[in-house]
Amino acid sequence: MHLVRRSAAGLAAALFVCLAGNHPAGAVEVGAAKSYVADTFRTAVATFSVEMPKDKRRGELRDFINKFGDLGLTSQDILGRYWTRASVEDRSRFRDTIGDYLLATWAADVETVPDDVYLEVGEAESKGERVIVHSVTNKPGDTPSNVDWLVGDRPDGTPFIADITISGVSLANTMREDFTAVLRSNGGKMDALLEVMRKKMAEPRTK
Amino acid sequence: MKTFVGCLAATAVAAFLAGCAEVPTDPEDRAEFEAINDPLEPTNRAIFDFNMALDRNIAKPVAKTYHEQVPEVAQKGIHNALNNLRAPMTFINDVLQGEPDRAAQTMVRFMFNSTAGLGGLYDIVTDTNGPRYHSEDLGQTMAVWGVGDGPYLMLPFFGPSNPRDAVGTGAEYVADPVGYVDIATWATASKTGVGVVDERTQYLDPLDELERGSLDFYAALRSVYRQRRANDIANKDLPLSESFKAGGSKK
Repeated sequence: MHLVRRSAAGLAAALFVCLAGNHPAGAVEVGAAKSYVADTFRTAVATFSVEMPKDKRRGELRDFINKFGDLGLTSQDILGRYWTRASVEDRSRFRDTIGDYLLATWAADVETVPDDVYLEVGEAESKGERVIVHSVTNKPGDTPSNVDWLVGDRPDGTPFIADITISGVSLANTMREDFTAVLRSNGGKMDALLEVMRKKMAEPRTK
Repeated sequence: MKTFVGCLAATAVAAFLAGCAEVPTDPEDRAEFEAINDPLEPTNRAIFDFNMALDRNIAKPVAKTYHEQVPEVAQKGIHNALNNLRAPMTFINDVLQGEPDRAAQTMVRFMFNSTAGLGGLYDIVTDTNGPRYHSEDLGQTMAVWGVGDGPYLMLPFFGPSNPRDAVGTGAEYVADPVGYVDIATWATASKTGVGVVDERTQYLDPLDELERGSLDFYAALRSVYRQRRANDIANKDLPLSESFKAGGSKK
């Protein structure tokens, strides 16, 4: 179970960079959102159920993030009102760092996903212009986990994963509280946040 | 004596006020401060540091040793048995929350697992595709009744909480029917001790991952605690009607 949970959390982190902020978007169609979630999960399992060296896995994760993600919109969502306050230069510096940070922290825990893990995609409901798709990850012999996917539309009309909530815990909300706590305790200074991020990335990944 | 108590109270109030976070004057900052609802943050962080020191030096090493040295089947049996002992309290809270279906599930699980499951060591109900384990507590019941959670609290030894859940935990300690069973004190103490080790073992990986993946572990844990509590209170069933499967090459 721990393996599945760790893989799910790491994959969620990788997918999380698909986050979008408050940009104009059309309403997502429920059926399309459900299909998109299923396709995303299939792609993730197909990619990460294969044994591979750590460096190669890191490369695959980076590709995954680049393919599905939008680091600018991710940054916007994570920083919330601090993004609005930040200078163009500070925004750019943060955007350049967040991808490496996700790879070095959350995504670093992604292990080989068992190939018999599957997703039961259930009902979906509209939430403003986005859609929440309810699902359950299953692995025979393990306790199922509820996973809610927040799906939105990009300006070009293609869907994206705006947030992933595992057993009630939203990755977007958790990261927002985490990052803004650092900003708050440092007078909102981006330099301080980037320094803390760099230190975190430099920490050895020992358990 | 009265003077002494008065001095003590004054000292406690002073310590409390000293441990309160300063309320920002900027409207946006103030709105954020109120949304976070952690006015005792300086004190809470100090208690968090204390708890973390205890965890690093005692709880986590014990849990890791238990996890690595005790056979998995034994760990699972102990975990199942502890869950089963929790059933009477969960049943009461299911009833108090007006959840007859969940109360019936708890009752059925308790009856079968206590007998055919050899005192709860085996969760035969889940193993035979029956209702899965769920836990309810008085804090959740009070939430269902409309009692607000109040500000975030970091309790010494117990960890993240809030006034409502702290009251619930205390009341349950007194009210738990298992506590009224006539067994030796050492047995009760053993159950508590094993329960602590079992619970810490369950959170070994998730807490490690959260700590490794967060810049401010205190803030991240506060966020996760509140989200999990809200999820537990909501009793969300898996909305899987008309579901379809994705992934899983063996499926």
